[in-house]
This record gives sequence, structure tokens and C-alpha cells, in this order.
Amino acid sequence: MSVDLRDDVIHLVGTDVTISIPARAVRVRPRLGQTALRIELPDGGLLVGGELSALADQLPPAGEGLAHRLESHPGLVLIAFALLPVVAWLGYRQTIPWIARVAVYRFPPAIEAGIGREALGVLDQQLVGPTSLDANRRAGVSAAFGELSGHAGLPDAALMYRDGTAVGANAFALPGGILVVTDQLVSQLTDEQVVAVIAHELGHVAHRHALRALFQGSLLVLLANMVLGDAGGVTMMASQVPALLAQMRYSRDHEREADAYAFELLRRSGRSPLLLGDALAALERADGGMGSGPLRYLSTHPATDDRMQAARDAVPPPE
Amino acid sequence: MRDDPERLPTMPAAPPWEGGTDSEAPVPATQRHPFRFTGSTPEFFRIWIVSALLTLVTFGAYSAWAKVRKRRYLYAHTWVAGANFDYHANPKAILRSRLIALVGLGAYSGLGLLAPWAAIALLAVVALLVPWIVLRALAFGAASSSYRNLRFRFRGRYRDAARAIGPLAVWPLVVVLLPDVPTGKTPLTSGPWISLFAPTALFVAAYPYMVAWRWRLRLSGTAYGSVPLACEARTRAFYRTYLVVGVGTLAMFLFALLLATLLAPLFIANRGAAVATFLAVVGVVAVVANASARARVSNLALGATRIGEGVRVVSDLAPGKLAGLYLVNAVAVACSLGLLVPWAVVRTARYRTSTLALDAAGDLDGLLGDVVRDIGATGEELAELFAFDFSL
Repeated sequence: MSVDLRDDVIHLVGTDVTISIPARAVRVRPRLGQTALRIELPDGGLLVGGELSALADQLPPAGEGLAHRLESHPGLVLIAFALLPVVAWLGYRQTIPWIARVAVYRFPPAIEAGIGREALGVLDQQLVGPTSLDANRRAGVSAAFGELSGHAGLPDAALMYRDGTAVGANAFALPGGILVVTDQLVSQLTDEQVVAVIAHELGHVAHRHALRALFQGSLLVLLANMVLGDAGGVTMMASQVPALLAQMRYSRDHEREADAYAFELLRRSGRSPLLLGDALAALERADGGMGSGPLRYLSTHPATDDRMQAARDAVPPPE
Repeated sequence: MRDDPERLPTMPAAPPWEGGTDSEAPVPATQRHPFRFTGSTPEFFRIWIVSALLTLVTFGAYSAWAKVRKRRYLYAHTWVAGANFDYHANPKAILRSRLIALVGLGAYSGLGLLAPWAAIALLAVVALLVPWIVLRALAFGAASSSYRNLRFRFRGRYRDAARAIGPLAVWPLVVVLLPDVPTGKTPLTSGPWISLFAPTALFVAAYPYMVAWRWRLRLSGTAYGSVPLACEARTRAFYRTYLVVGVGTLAMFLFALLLATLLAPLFIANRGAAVATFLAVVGVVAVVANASARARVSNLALGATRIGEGVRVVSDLAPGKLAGLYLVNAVAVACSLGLLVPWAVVRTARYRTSTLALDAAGDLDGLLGDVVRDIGATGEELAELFAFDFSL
């Protein structure tokens, strides 16, 4: 079979058929890599075949996209290959957190408070029970909490005490300024150390980390799926691993931010930042933790040693 | 008009069919037409990387176009009986359906945080809609695919779609609602066996049924032009298959447990290594089980499929080979932070196509030749108006 383009007319000569079509009447399908050239005929027919490639240069395809041009030049592909990790990294470290911050800034506080109350309800149902802490102890801690939230300018923050049966010694900051501390945590620390932990949790409240984490996590998973979702099933699950590690990193960033806030708040209320370091050390002695080895990348908190060092660095030099 | 530069020499694979010899006309020999994949990783990688970059830069908007390009590449490099496939979906329709899905997800998440009961109600409504959505998605996919310039068609019944995804839609509802039944406070604090175990056991029991209907819905509802496909696999065959896979998986788990007890002293010291090894073992067992199930079920369903009266589908995936393929893919993708996904995709496509073939009693052209010419109308309109394509 021979193919020829003469005077804007395509001639196809086969063993027992000859076809002539004006070049204007056909539609060349946009090319994709090395796929065989396909030419759509006006009556609905389709021409496919290797010999047609000879026409490829003479018949520009309808709407050859930017994408095909980018894919066809090895140089541009190389640039795309180099740019991809850069764009991905920037998106992860800058764009997604920025979008989350902007979204949270515009988020109505009333709705956020509603979310926090719902979350507290879930906690009460699933993970914690009513507190059995001594009334005097509670009074002491609540007084210090009142003082701290005054210094922080967060009058709407509230402190709840719970018996943390399933979660042990722990403290949470829920959206809308609801702080929860477990009996186990209070009983393991001195009053001043509890105050330091509260300062850290107030940091989460001030920065609205809970909501930001929600947005960042969703955006990250969505984008990761869009880019890496081709390989279905098992391989897609494997490609979730980087997304998961990335989310852990977001969490560690938030913890560091809360630590920094706590140091500042403690200083402002006349206490030493070292209190937070002491509290963390006491808590880690009680429960193992992920340590400073390679597993720290799986942790939602920075390594305790690093945090204690940050506390030491935050102590103002003697005047 | 077709040109066949890639026509393969066809070899008669089996002796002439039995039954009904007509002394006048010669009994046609079955010819086997194997599928072939001609794509290459370097080429697909180029398409993939440009797609990934543009998707990131447009924050996901380009993803619909990216999907169409990648699918077109993979389809165009899949050949059988001297011709290849093509994919014609309109990216705008895909983008629209993705935005709808996103809005729905956002609404559900928002309600879940604020008013969980409203969220559950929404879930119930969506559960009723899902079979219809699945039908539309299958119709869109079929109408967007063509072989030798003739589009596929899909038509399915709501009740079959409900059978195919019913347990999947109902199970989360049951698990969410059950804690409020006074059999125990919550799955975590008391009575996990009733509130979590029962629904999960039911789901596991219904799973092979679901899978059987999923394959049958998709295959038996598809038609090539006016030639219908039919999948004749029985549900109980699916149950047998999953039983085999289940027993194999249990055996693997027991073996792993045995190994763990033997190596326990090594792990007491190093907690990190214990966690890592545990995760690795669970991962490997899960992948092998998944691959084994997938291979056997595909062979079962596709092997029982015929196209029209004279063409049968042949599938012989090897569970071991597929498991190896998946494992290597998973490790490669995880280690390369996703950059080796195109390599994994091409590898998988190449292997899976190599295990597919069509057995035709007589000349394939003759059998598929008397199809009704379907010049675009049904396909395009369907795609424009009711396109729902939810796979990412």
C-alpha cells in the first residue's frame, strides 16, 4: 500500500482499492508518544498504519497540545523531571501549609467551636472517662490555667479534666480552645510542670493547629492520589507511604511551633522555659517513646532530646 | 479501512471443534489471538512526568487531561488480532465528575465534624445512589473505549449494581451505627466482638458474592457494537476461589507467627526493629494474598467470558508471578517516592496483556464483522451529559 500527498489531496493506493481525499477533509488525531498515526475520515472511517507516519510531517494534527510538545523534546522532559521534585517539595513545605493557614483564618470561630464540642463528645464516648482527680489539685491547676490564658489573650479557652484510661498520660487541644488533660498526666507531674504542658497546648490553640492539620492532611492525600494514583491497588498503597511520612512531618512542625509558643508564654508569666523540658523528660521516663533513632520519622512529635535542647536554648541569658 | 503492519502470524491452537460436522462446509479451527502490549517505559515515563508536573502546577485541575492521555497511551499500545484500542473520553466530563465527588466529600466531612447524625443520613442517601453512579461510570468508560474505530457500549441493571457494591456501601453504615446499640459501650472499651466482629464477619462472607457480581455486571453488560459479551462464571466458583486464597493466607500468617516466636528474643531488645519487621511481614502477606486473589478471580471471570457466539476470552495469570510483580512494584514505588510509578504501570500492563487472548472459532473478522455501525451519537452524548468517572 502506498500513501502520497500531492496538491493537498491524499492518495492511498492498495492492492485493489484507491482512495483520494482532500487533505482539508480529514482530521488527524493528536499524537501521543509513538502511537500509530490515526486519521479520521469524513464519513466516520479511520485510517491507521505505519505507512501513514510519512504524512505526519505534512499534516499537522488538529490541536496538538502543549503536553505533546513537552513530551517530545528530551530536553524539556529532563527539565520536567528536575522541576517535579522541586515543585512537589515547595508545594508540600510552603503552598499546602499556606493554603491551610489562609483557610483557617477565614474559618468562622463559631463553627470551629462546634467541631471542638463534637470532638469532646467523641472523646468522652470512646477514649476517656470522668475525672477522679483530687478537688484541691484541680483548683491549683485551674488557677494557673486562668493566669496563663490571661497572659496569652485567649479568654475563650477552657480546661477539662478526664480520666484517660485508654490514652494514659496525655493532653489534647481540641478546635475552639478546649483543652483536655488526663488524670494520669497530672499525677505524674508537679503543678508547675503541668502548667508548662498547658502552655504548650495553648500554643496549639493560638495557632489553630487542629484545623490546620485537618486541611493540610486532606490536601496532601488528595494531591498525592492525583499524581501517583495510576498504579492501582497495591502499588497505590505503597505510594501512600511518602504521603504518610509527610503528614508526620507536618505534625512535628506543629509541635515545634507549640513548643516555641510555650517557651514565650512561660517567660511572659515569669516562669522558666526549662519547665517544659522537665515535664517532657518526666513523661518520657514513664513511657518509652520512639527515641532518636531512624524511627523518629514515624513519630508525630520531635524527639524529646531535641525539644529539651530547644527549652534550654529558650532560657533568656542572665542580664 | 485498516492497514495491519503489526499482524501476527496466527497459529491454530486446538483441534477443530466437536459436534455437528457438516460434510459440506469445513469445520473451522479455533484460532488463538493473543493480546500484546507494545508500550515502553521511557515513552510512558515522559508522558507521566509531564502529566505529574502539570497536575501539581495546576493544583489538580490538569489531572483529568492527564488521565485521558495516559489511558490513551496504554490503550493504543494494546493490540489483538492486528488492531489496537483507543480511548476517547472528554477530559472536561471527567473533571466535572471529580469536582462533584470533591464537593460531596467536603459536605460529608463537614457534616461529620459538626453533626454526625446528618453525616450518617447523607451516607445512607449516597449508599442508595452509588449503584446508579457505578452504572453511569461503567457506561462512560465503555462508550469512551473503542477497538477498530467501533465503540463499546454498556448497559446494566440497578439491582445488579446494588449486588455488586451493596455490602461495601452498607458495612461502614453498620459499623458506625452499631456502637449505639446497647450491647456494650464502644468497640474500644467493651464488647468489640459484637459491635465490630459481627458486621466484619458478615462483610467477609458477602465479599465473594460482591466480587462475582462486580465482574458479571461489568462483563455481561458490555457490548462491542451490537455483539454482547457474556460472563458465565458461577458465584460458587468465586467462593471456592476465595476459600483457597483464604486458606493460603492463613497458612502464611501461621508461618510468620511461628517465625516470630522463634525470633522473639532478638526483638525484645530493639523495639524499633520489631515494629518494622512486623509491618514488613504484614505487608508481604497482604500483597501476596491480594495478588493471588486477583489472579485467580480474573482467570475465573475472564475465562468464562464469551464475545458473541464464537469468541472466548482466555486468561492465565500466574498468582506467583503477579505477587512477585506487585511486591517489586511496591518496593520500587515506595523507595523512589513515586517516581517509578510509570515503570510499575508499564510492567504490569505488559504482563497482564501477555496473559490474555481471544479464542475464535473461525475468522475473527467474520465473527465480529456483522456489527451495527455506531457512528458516535450514543457514545458522545452519553459521555457529555451523564459522565461519572470516579476512579482516580
